[in-house]
Parts: sequence; structure tokens; C-alpha cells
Amino acid sequence: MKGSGFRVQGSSSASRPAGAGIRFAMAVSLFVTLNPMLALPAAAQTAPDPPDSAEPTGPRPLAFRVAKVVSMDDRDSVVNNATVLVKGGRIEAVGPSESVEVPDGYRVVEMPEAWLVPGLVDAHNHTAGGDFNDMVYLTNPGLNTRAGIEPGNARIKRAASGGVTAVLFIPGSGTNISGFGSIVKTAGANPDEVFMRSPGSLKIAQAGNPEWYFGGVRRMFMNWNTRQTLLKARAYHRAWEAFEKGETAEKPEYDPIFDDFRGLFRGEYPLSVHTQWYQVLLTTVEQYHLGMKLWTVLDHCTFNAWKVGPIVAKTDCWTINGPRQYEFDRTARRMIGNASGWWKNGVRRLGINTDAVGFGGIPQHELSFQAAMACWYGWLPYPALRGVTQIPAEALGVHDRIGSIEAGKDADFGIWTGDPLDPRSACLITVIDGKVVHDGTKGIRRF
Amino acid sequence: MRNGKLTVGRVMLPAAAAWLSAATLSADVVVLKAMRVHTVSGEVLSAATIVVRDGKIEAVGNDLAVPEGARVIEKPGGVITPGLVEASCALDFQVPQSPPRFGRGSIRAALDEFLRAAQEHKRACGCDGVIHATRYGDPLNHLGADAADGADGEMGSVGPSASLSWAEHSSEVIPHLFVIDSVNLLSNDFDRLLKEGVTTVFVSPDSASVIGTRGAIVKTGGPLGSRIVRRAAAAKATMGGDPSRRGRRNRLPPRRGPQPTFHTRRPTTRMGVDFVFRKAFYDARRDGKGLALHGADTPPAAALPILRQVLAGEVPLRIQARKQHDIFSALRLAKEFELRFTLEEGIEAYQCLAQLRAADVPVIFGPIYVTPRGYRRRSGEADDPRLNTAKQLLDAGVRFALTAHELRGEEGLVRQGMFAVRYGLSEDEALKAITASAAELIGVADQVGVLEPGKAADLVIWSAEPFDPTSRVWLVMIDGQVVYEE
Amino acid sequence: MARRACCKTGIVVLAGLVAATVNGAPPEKVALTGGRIIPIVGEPIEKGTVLIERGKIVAVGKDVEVPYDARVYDVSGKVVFPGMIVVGTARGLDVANEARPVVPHLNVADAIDPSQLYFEDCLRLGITAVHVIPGNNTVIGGLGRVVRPIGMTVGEMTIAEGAFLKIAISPRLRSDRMAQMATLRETFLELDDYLDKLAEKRYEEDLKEKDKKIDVGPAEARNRGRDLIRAEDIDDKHFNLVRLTGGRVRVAGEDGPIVAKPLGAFLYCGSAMDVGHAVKTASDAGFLDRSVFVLGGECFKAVAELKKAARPVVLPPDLTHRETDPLTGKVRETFVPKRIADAGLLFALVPGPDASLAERMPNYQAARCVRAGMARDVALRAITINPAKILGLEGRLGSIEVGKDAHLVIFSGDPLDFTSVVEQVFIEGIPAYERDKDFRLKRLLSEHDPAEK
Repeated sequence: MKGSGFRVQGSSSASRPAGAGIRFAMAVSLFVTLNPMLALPAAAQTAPDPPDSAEPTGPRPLAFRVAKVVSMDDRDSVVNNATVLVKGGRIEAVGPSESVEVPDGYRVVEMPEAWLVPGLVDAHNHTAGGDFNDMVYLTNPGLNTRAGIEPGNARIKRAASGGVTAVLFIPGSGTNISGFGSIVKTAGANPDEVFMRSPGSLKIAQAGNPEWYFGGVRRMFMNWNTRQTLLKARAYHRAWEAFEKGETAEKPEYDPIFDDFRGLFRGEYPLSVHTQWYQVLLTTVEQYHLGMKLWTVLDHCTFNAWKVGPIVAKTDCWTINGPRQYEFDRTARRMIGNASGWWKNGVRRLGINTDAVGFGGIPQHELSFQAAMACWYGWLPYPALRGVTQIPAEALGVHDRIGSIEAGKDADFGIWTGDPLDPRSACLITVIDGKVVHDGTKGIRRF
Repeated sequence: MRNGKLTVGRVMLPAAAAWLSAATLSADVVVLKAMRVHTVSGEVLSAATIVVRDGKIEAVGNDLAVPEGARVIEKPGGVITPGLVEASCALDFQVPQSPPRFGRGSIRAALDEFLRAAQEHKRACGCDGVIHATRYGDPLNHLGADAADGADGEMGSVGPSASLSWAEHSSEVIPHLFVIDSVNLLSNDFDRLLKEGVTTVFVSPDSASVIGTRGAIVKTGGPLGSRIVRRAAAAKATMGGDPSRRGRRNRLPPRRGPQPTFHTRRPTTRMGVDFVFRKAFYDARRDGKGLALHGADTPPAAALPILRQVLAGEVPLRIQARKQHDIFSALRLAKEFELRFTLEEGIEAYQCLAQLRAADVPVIFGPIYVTPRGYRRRSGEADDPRLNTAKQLLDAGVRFALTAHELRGEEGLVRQGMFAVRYGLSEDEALKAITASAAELIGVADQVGVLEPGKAADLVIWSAEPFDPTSRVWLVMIDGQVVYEE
Repeated sequence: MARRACCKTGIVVLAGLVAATVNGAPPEKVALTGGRIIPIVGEPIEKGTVLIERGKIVAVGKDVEVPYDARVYDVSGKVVFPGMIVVGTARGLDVANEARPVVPHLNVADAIDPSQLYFEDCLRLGITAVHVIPGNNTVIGGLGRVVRPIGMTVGEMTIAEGAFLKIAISPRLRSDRMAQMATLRETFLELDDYLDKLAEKRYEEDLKEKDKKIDVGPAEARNRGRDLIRAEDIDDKHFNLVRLTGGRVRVAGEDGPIVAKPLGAFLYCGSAMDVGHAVKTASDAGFLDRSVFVLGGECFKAVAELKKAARPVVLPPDLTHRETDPLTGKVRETFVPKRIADAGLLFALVPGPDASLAERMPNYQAARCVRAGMARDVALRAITINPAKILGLEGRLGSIEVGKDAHLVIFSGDPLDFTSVVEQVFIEGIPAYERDKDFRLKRLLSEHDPAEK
């Protein structure tokens, strides 16, 4: 097309004689550039791989050779010039390339300058499905996002392009208890494939948005009301427990509203609490974590809530802060980084979220930018990277499967052009359950 | 009475009776002859004859004897098929369905508004004027979404021949109500369906309630007294966004409550739909055990026994779901309550073939389209269809029937079959999908759907093979009576 | 047949999609062999060959000798059909109409968007020529243009420049018929006025050149200035109106010089009552014999007037007109093409509404005509040679005949059979569409692939 030397006669006005010349060399280019669906394949192409589905035993095993693996394991291992083997949807081996042999039949992906990090995990997501808030009641114990998981929707598809592989998909914060969240992977063929756990958490919004409800409710009422629901649920659980242990003879009646709470009181899944401001966060910690002994994940934790840090540091609470990464501290008249505020006050179980929503806000694929911002405002890079990988995985109780690059865990990871906390880095390849779900290495990088 | 007279009377009467009955009998025998007969239950017969007696098919075959006194209908070149069965008919979609504005809920106002909008659109679009009638099968979307259904595009229950209350919203759980109560058997839509070869329809309830009303099975023509085949057929539940989007417009309490917002109307999310569905069945069980019901969204008392019948399999259930994850939700809920159900619409059924097969869920699939229109487009759930879904269902071993739902004319049921043939089905498979399979899935396979002795004489004579675009309907017969002849 | 202007070397270079890359020069000779040819003019040819050279059909028949250097496409078992023609549409533009009501100087060339998916859809349906013309929401809407659905610029796409203005007789949005007709009348009155004044001005200018002063009254000045009017003196807006009325300047009731080629008009008549007004307007202004009537569904009721006007008509996209009796509620259906065809009018079918899966195919619209009892060849002509005739392009398009542009569609079977699909489309011998490479269509026929959502 280029340099063909074709000229096009200009489109004429009515007074010019008819018979414009035909320059059809460009006709082809129309399809190539303007209508990619009818386009010819791009010129430079590697030989196509046989489709994974041709393999009788699932996706073909893969071997990735990369510059660096930041594993986020217990010893914080970093392996340089590494090879990662993937088979059967799991990580088979991680180690320096000299000591990891690639068996026959594995497809080798050479990315000699790339970083391989665990798939990012966002503990506060609203885009894995379409729904947000059912707001007839101030507490909605019966609702569960499980019914709304929509894999492959336009917003969650992009999450994978930002290296995000698992999210806790929760209802909105329009009510004090908006329902149960579900932990899902960000790519898969159908809801069963992406499903990890539901209940992933019980979503509580401590204050803020629920206050607009029915003419206005405030902290006294909200805290009291939420507690009532939890106490009812706990009473239901205890009644069943007593029966199961043989302490009572009468079998309680199954109640679809409260039955899912049993796992909460058994410590099988956490509360995820939208909570910010000092008093509000303090209430969360004191009321649910210390008072009702519930596994608690604090979400947002912004504004001046970091000042509760010293108290939180002494508990097992998880602090997943964001999306606001800074606060203007009016008392001290200065900008303060949120995450760094928490960190400097001793909180180590610290992570980051995006609160990704379908309308405005931070899109899910920008979780790494949130971590970068946290560092810009004073946090440290390695904890920040851990705060979007291993920390949220453990906060949600799925760290046996995800959050680090270790043999036996799910093969969920991203391969980046460099440090994920460098905003110039891009996630080129995302793998979920051993399958490449995002590949930005071919042609136009689109997502 | 003296013996003589009585004797005469006794002798006369039986003879008279015999004469009368003979005459009646012969008038009820019709013989049809055509170039080809698709029985659907067996072979395709050439130069075949069908003998109809008393509204039922007596015999189908070649070289059959013509009973004496029979009326003979001979259509050389004609092709006979069973009357088409529409398994999921959205009735009266073409009437103006402007919702009543609060305070302006008159039919007159709605019609005026519709006509005005129609005029405006006609000029803007350059299309044919629709002042006289709307475009069938294109429920007002050709007018443009905003013109068609009023400001927020929802269907109300107003219109000059509105026979169906589309927006029955007294509760989210209403299987104790019957759609037949609002069906206008004289509606023009039945005429239209009839002329397009459809003889039996399942009138599908509205999708605005999570567990909606019972459907009805109705013939499209014939004497009024025999039109209704089944008053209370399957109950219809809906997964996905329809109950949320549509439910928002109704006040609680009805007509008196404040303007509904998402603070006053459940559900507004799929979480809510899921909850209402589950709660309804759990409450039905509780009620069956004599326990008190509590909590949000308790179903109406009258609904509870019906829900128990659904759980027991005595009342069939169909569930409308378009998107993959909504179909998955339906499967999950059915598994939880051990329910059998039939999937309706199933636009993304091609994304869950294995799951549907494994659960042996039949699908009433349709319509086939490239660009969604009207309420389907506004649902946002219909943007990713496949043209060859019917073929994919067939190959996956999923039982299915085709439906045109609200579409008529060039997108009506026989055309859906035509599309299915273009995109993968054989002609026989497609014909089965709009006759015998549809009859089977709505539970009237013992009566209609095939041309076999003993079945109702519901049949259509076409001028050529039905899926030939140049073919048209020459004659329609229902229960042995000719109800339409070109 | 106009000779196309060629580039400097005199050889028109055609691009082909034949090679996998775009490096090779496309072949000058193309042959389609073994197919069943439906030429529209003449009988179908079984197992025939169409030979194309430099974009033109040079041979059609059973025993055509194929040159050794021709690129041969074996289309055995397939049907070769002329590329179908859309006789008038506002698709391909950004909006159907400008907001201003009288804009005869505007040209669709300024708004046709080659990148629109509409043009790709045309290829998919076997449409190889589209007359893009402004929509119906106007009074005088602007000049149309016949384009191919391929090309990167409007220039590349153009088959023939505008020969028709769009005029709406039915009132535009938020207007009414009285205002609409008044606007039309005023437009032509204003044209007369303008030309009168222009004649005066030209006479004055002419005198000035000769250093003379105006020496006569306005009436005489007009007389003398009449023949001095040249094409470049007329402003854009009035120029097209002059072309519409015949291309001849008319001043003070008398004919002046011819300054341009005439234009025709596509007259939109939404209702039957509009037909009479359309005929009157056109004949009063002098363009009735270059008019085409674009009909609304009801216009078959005015078939007598249309017959008298003896001009071609364009049928509405929705071929069935329905009326509900206000008293009984009964619906009466009329199949419009049959009524028009029975009246002996030259008519063209257009594709139906885009959202209707079958009706958007022009060959399906033709099948419906056959269903209603019209002859097969009448129906097929209505989507091929009739539109060509209406547009004045019957020398180039609309049938498979020697000397015409090679616009050809390869169907997998008979075009009136709904199981037939468009497999290939050639535009002037260039393979412009191949179903095998149609990714968008493939997707609609594909199985679920979660990665490709």
C-alpha cells in the first residue's frame, strides 16, 4: 500500500465532468485499516500454535522463561532468570532456569526481559457482574452476588489485561448489609469455571452511603440495626450448632436468609466492611472483630482512619485500603498518603483495592496503578506489591490457591514488561488456571 | 296414549335418528389431497390423502378410500404440514403499549401519544407511515424506542385492543394468577397467527415478575368454545434483568403508593431475583409444614399451594433466561429445589450446551436474529446471539423447539424455521421444531403437532414447501374445520 | 459507457485480494467458470463463463475461451448473478438530513463515510452499487451519488456523480403540507427572481467592461443579460436548481443558454395524496420527465396518477401495507409491489428494515414478490436492471452483458432460495468479498469461545 504512488482524484462537485478514475489499490487497504474484521491477517506472524482444545488432557503445559519471578512466598523469594512450569492448571515448578528442566511437549514462552508476578487480587470489586445494590431494606441478609456473576462482561475482561486474576465480587455499599460477596477469577468460559467461593465474604457498609436511606439514618441507628441482624444470624447458627452437637433434640428450621451466615460464625469466610473515618473504622474493629470475634477485612480505610492504626496493628484485621490513596489531613494541614499512614502506624496486614465499578471510578485493570500511587505517597514498593497479591489472597482465605507463585498453587499470574509498580510497565500475558487469557504480544495490544 | 300412535312413533323415531346422524356424520368427514404431506411423525408422503373425521385425523396415506359424503379439498401442488405450534407466544405485542403516565392513565391518552409519535417518526425516518397500523413483528421499535413505549420504554397494559396485562405486578410471586384471564380470544393477533399457519399457541406470561402467572394453551381459530386447550399451563419464572427493570414502574400499594424507586421495590438486581425465587419455595415448604412465615418478600398466601405443586412436579415450570449466567442461575436453582423446568428464549444457550444437556433441560429457543430490537434490545441481555444456535442445540443433544415469541410476518414462526434451515438445520428438523417438538415441550403432544390418526386435525396447506420464501398459506384447518382459505 | 479516466500511464491498476499479501499487482483478466449465470437480460446459462477484462465484462456464454493469463475462479455448482443495486438510501451518511429545509447545493459526497459498517453489510448481501441520497426529512435535501461499497475515499467509491436531488413532498418533521408546498413553490419563485436579477447584473457587468453605463430599464436589462449568464455566475444553491429545471437559464419567462447538465429528482411521497402534489410540482418546474417517485406504503392508492405520470417508482422497504379499520378493528393487508407491477410501472425494490433478518436481503424481497404471484423475472429485474435504469446507469450495471461493469455476486444456489448465501462478490472484477474470510459473519456462526466475547 505504501509507496504505491496512486493518486486519488479528488471528489468533485457537480460541475466537474463525470468519470473519476478508479484507484482500487486502496480498496484493499480499506478493509485492512478500517474494517479489521474483513482484514487480511497481519503481515508478520509466527506459526500458529495448535489449539489448546486439541489436547486430550486439558490445556497444553506451558513453560515461561522470564527475567524475574517475584514469588510472594513465605520467604519473599525472588528468582532471577527463572523458569515457571505450568501443568494441569497449576504451577508445577518455579526456579532458576539452570535448574528447572522443561519437559517435552511443553510450549515454551520466552520473555527474557519480563517479570512474572502472582495474579493481582482485588478484594473489593463490583464489575465481575452487572448488579450493584438491592436497596429495599437497610440490611439484606439473603442476597448473594453469586446470582450475578457474569464472566466475560466488558469490564471484567479488561481486568485480566491489567494482570488482575481474582476478585471478591461484592454488592454495593448502598445499605448496611448489602449481601454476600463471591470470589471469582476474572476470566473463564462460564460462571462455574470462574467460581472460587461463595460466600466470599459478608459485605457490610458501616457508614456513608446507607445514610441516605429513607430520609436519613445515622451512626447510632445503623450500628444498632446492623448488630441486630448479626445477632439474629448468630442465634440461628448457635441453635443449629447446639442441635448438631446433640445438645438439643429439636431440629431448627432451615432459613434461607440466615443459613449462609453460619460460615461467618464458623470462621470460614470474613466480613468485608466498607469502613472509613476514624470513628467508623474503630466501630468496625471493636464491634465485629473484637466484640463478635469475626474474621474481618477492612475495606477503604481512608480519610483519617489510618489513625486507628495502632489499635488495628494489634489485631488480626486485614486492612485493604483504597481507592483513595491520600488524605488532606486538616488537623495537620498536610497531605498524607493513606497506605503509608497505616504502615507507619504498625499495620502490616495491609493491602490495596480499586473498588472498581461499571460507571466512572477506577477500572479494575488499574489496580497496579493504585499500588504505584500508594508508593508515590510514601509506602514501600515491595509491601505494596504484596498488598495486591499475597495479602488480599490471605485476607480472603484463598491463599492456599492463589496469591503467590509456588508449586501446587493455581497457575494465576501476570507477565509484565517490568516492575508492575512502574506505571510504564504493561501486563503482556495473563494466565488463569494455566490458560493464557490475555495476550498482548501479538499485533495491536487490545483489551 | 294409544298403542297405535306410540308404535308409529317408536318406529319412526329411530329411523329419523339414523337419517339425522348419517347426515351429521358425513358432513364431518373431510378429505384433503395434496402433492406432499409432512406428517412429522414419520415419512414425508407424496400425493397423499388425509381423512378427517369429527375434528380428528382418521387416516393419512396414499390411495386411501374417500368415504361417502365426504367433503374433498384438493390442492394440487400443495404441501400439507401439521398446524404450527408456537411454544412461547407473546400476544398482542403490536398494539400500542404506552404505559399510563401517572395521572394520565387513559387508553385514549396512550393511543393519542402513540399516534403522534408514529407520525413524527414516519417523517424523520422516511419509513412507511404507521398511522394505519403498526408493523407486525416489529413491536414499535421501527418507530424508534422513544416513540414506541413512552419515556422509559416499559410496556404497560394500555392499548385499544390490549388483551394482555403485561405488567402484572401485584407481587413478584403470582403463580396463582392465570394469563388466560386477560387473553382476548378475538384479538387481531390470533387472526395474524392463524394466517401464518400457527394453530396452537402457549400464551407466555409477562417476564416482569420473578415467578409469574400460569400460561395458557389456546388455538388460534375455530369456535370460541373450543379455543382454550388448557386454562392453566406451565408457570413461568424469569431470571436476569427483566423483573428488576420492569418492576420499577409499579407502585406499592398499587395505584396509591408513592412513585416507586429502588428503595421501595424489590428486586432491583439479580441477587434480589435469586432471593425472591428461593424464598418463595422455602416459604412454600415451611407453610406446608404449618410453620409461620417471616422475613422480607413473603409470597402471597394463595401462591403457596401452587409453589408446592411446582415442587412436586404437578405444575410444570418454565424459566426465561437469556444470558449465560442467568441460564446457569436457573440450573443452579432447579438443582437446589429438584425442579424440572423448560428454558425459554435461551439466547445464549449456545454458551452452556453441556450443562443443559447434563441437566436434560429442554429449550424453547428464539427468535433468531442478528440485531435485537424493542424490549429485547433494551434488556441489554440479547446482544450476543448466534445464528446457528438451533443447530448447536441439536448437535449437543438438547431437546428444543423454535419460537418467534412476539415476532410476526417475515420473522414469524414459519420464517424462524426458514432461518434455522439457512443456518444449519435440515428442513425436517426445522419443521419438527415448530410442530411436534413445540407440542411436546408445552405438553400437548398427545393432541397436536403431528399428522397421525387420533390427533386433532390441525393442519396447513402451503403453496410450496413451507420454508421456501415463495411459499404462502393456502388453507388452515383447526379441529377439522377450515378456518382460513386464501 | 463512460471511459474511466486513467492514471498517467494509461493503465488502470486494480488491487486484488487474490494474493495473501498486498504486494502483487492484481490480474487484469478474471474468468468465472462453470456457474449457472443469471444475466437478467436473456435466458440463464448453465455451466457458463464470464470473462472480465480491466473491470468490464468482455464475454458471457457457454463456450468462452479463457485467456491463458486470466485468473480463473471455478464457480461450478454456484449461481452467478448481477450485483444488486440499492436505488436510494440515506445510509452511509452521518445523518439522513441536514437541519435546513432547502439545501439543493449540498452534496452527499461531503458526508459519505467509507468506513461505515453499512458498506461492509452491502457486500455481505451482494449489493454492489448504492445510490446514497439524503433522507425524507427535508424539503430539498441535496444531491445524491452512486457509489460502490468499497474504497477508502468517496472518490474511489464513486460510480457516478449525483444525477438526482432529493425532494420531499410529505412534510418534514414538525411541519405540515401547506408549509411544505409553500416552501417548494417559493424556492422556484425565488429561483426565477434570482435569475432575473442575475441577468440584470450580468448586463451591467458587461457594460462596465466596455466602459459603458447602464442605459436601459430593468426589464430590458434582463432581456439583454439573459444570454450573458454563464455557469460560474450562478451561486451553488441556485446552480443545482437551474440544473433541476433543465440546466437552462430562464429569465423573464424566456429561455436562455444551457449552462449545465440537467438533474433529476427523487420525490418522496409518503401518502397517496402526495403523489398529485409531486406530479404538479415537478411538471410546473419542468423536471417531471427526470423524476422518480419514492413511495410510501399507501401510495399504491394513487397508482392511476403514477401511471399517468409514467415515471419510475421506488417501493417502500416494508412491502406489506396494513390498515386497521377504525370501526371494526380488522386489519387489511396489501402487498404493494403487486399493485405497482400490475399497473405496469417501472419499479425498484429496496432492502427492508435492517433489523429484519430476511427482509434486508434484496433477493428475499424479490422472493416475496414471487410469493405474491409476480413473475420471477419481474421480481429479479426489480433488484438489478430496474434500479440501473432508474439511475440512468443501465449501460453499466444491472445485468451480466458484454460491455457492462463486472459487478457480480456468486450465490451458493438460486438467489430466491433462502438457503443460498452470498459466497463471493466481484466489483469491477476485484474480489471484494469472500464469505470464508468474513470474520464478523463467522462469529455469528461460531461456537462459544470465552476468549472471544
